[in-house]
Amino acid sequence: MPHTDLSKLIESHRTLVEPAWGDGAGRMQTGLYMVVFDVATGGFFTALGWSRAERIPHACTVFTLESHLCCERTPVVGEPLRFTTQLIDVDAKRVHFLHEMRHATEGWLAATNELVSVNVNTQTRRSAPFPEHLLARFAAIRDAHRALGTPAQAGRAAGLDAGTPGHPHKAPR
Amino acid sequence: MTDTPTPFSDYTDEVRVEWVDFNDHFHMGYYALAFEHAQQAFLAHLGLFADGWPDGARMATREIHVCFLRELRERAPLRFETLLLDHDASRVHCIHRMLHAAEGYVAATGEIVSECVDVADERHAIGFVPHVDQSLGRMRAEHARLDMPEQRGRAIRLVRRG
Repeated sequence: MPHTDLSKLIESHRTLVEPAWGDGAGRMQTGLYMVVFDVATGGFFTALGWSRAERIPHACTVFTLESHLCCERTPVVGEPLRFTTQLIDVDAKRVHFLHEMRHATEGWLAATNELVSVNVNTQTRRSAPFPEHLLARFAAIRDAHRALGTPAQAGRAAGLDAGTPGHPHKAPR
Repeated sequence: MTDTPTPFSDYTDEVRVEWVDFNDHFHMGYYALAFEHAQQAFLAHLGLFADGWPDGARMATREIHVCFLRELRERAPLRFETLLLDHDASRVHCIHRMLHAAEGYVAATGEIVSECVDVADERHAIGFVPHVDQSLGRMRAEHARLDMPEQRGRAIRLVRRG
């Protein structure tokens, strides 16, 4: 069912932290976050009207070009997670978006994942424009999401500045 | 022997069976895990996990930026080249190239910031011991002389061409 409410972010996924995702102490392993965020990416494209089933008749798929993960607070096994997604930018072939992963009941931010995906023709394996009817829709969602503000993690370059995820932290001992 | 610096290149792996999608391609979600392993190997090389390991500490990944350049298939042999970009009392910032070990092409880059933290509270940083801190300083000075991947320090945005 395509997403229609433009006044809020797209809810793209819900899950519990599965036991297999935990380390020895039950903390969700950061090396697996992008696997779970990829499920949210699937939910996001479905909400945009470009699900796997909708892409197949067009001989299209979507590939990820880049992915930036920021880890703010580590959830533990069994905790419920809720993912929302903001469409930041779009052009004829690419979509730039950011997922937030929050504790589903307490609301705190666990991590963000900012991505760029490109539409690809499955026969040529080359990038291809999105169908015309989707572009206006993508642009409308982008404009509506812009009004909701930009997350601090968007457009961030990795590094040791004050904005490093997980901060503010207490000084080293 | 020469004193020409080289990236840290000891770490190898392969595209493991459990990392592939239904098409036998390396699933994008698992690249971060492979890059974390490479970062751990680099820190182990510097002695962090031996006598340089502070009590009650663990390494926490703070951020990872992956750029996907070419596809890889199941069982493809991988090697990694690691460059230390920056560090402070408790954090390291590296960029890794992931290469197809037989064909030589760069399949992806992964830029990681990880921090030594208290196992009981990840908001508490724990400082590196002095000899690890010194090793990091030497390594960083050496690596500063090397060619950097162009993906270093990249912020995500859609650049319009033409």
